[in-house]
Amino acid sequence: MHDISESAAPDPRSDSLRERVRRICQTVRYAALAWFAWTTLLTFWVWLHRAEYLDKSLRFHGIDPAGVSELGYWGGFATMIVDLGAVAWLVSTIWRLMQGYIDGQIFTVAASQKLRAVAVAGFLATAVDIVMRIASVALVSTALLAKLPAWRWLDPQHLLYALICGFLLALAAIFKTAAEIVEDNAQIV
Amino acid sequence: MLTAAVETSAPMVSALRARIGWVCRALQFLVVAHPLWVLWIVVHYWGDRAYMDRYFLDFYKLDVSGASQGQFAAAIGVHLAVFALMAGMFYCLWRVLDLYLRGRVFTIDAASWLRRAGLLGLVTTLADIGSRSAIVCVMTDHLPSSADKHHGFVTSDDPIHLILALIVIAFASVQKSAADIADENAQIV
Repeated sequence: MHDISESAAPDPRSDSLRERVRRICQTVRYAALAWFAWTTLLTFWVWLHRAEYLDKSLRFHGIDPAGVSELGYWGGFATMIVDLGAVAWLVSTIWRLMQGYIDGQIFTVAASQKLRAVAVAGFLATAVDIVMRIASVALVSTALLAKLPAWRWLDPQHLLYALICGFLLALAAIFKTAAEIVEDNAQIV
Repeated sequence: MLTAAVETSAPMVSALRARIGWVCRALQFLVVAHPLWVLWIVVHYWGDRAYMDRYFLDFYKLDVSGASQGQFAAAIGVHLAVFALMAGMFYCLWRVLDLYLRGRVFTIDAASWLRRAGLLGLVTTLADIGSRSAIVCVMTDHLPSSADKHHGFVTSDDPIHLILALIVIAFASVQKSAADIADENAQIV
């Protein structure tokens, strides 16, 4: 497969593109890493302050936090760690994609496969998040689970993430075709 | 000019349209469903005055039960202003998907609409963060100056929204280059 970055002669167009996206890609990958670190710290911070967390999440719905067992609480925390695992995988796929772009691998089939991996990881992280949030509440308090309406478990954020992941999936197919056109172009030349 | 590119790479682009057609249709549905859902949530919660009073008391430790209808309307207005930005972003995405469905994939038009979507995504996220403080200020306008009216916070979703917006902007650059390549390919042929 022809790769613009591997052309023997310097290509001003690909250099210009690489220059344009380099800064954004650097920002995106470090921001993704920072976001993961932050969300991990936040999760630990919230769950390690048990009394405050239960007070906020249960009392608001008129449920007595005294009924929450140790096992249930820490089981709920464990499900959120699984949730973070899915996010870590997503961030690693974003990092690999951005690294590839920074290295100039843009119109290549490999780059489109990396983009597809981001979309798939995003879908999976979204699905895991929905399931783990329900599991977490179920473990901490079945009374709260029964009290919250079913629609509360699907939030517009999840729809937004699914939308973006679907968009990335479409872009992955588009960029794969772009890579094929580049190859076609190279063969004609 | 890009019509020519589509014609010269016709088999590739036709195959691409077949592959992503259903994804684009599904995404167009989500692009409309998401803002409608958000709008419903705003109306649902802000229409329940007792719930909002309880929410402010629990979350901000502020008693807003004495707030006037005008304050409520202003707070909803702030929400709707952010919603309008978000709706603008989704309109841009709709335009991109519409171009894809019409086979105008590798076009400057598609890249421009994608870039607009990314930029509006950035603006919407920043406006959303700012609106939280604005809403608290509006809702506590009637309280004495001794009350703690200055609240602001960033949720764990905000950084991911910024990251997604940046990714969309980066892809807009990549797609613009893909359009240039498609155009060049057409000229060579």
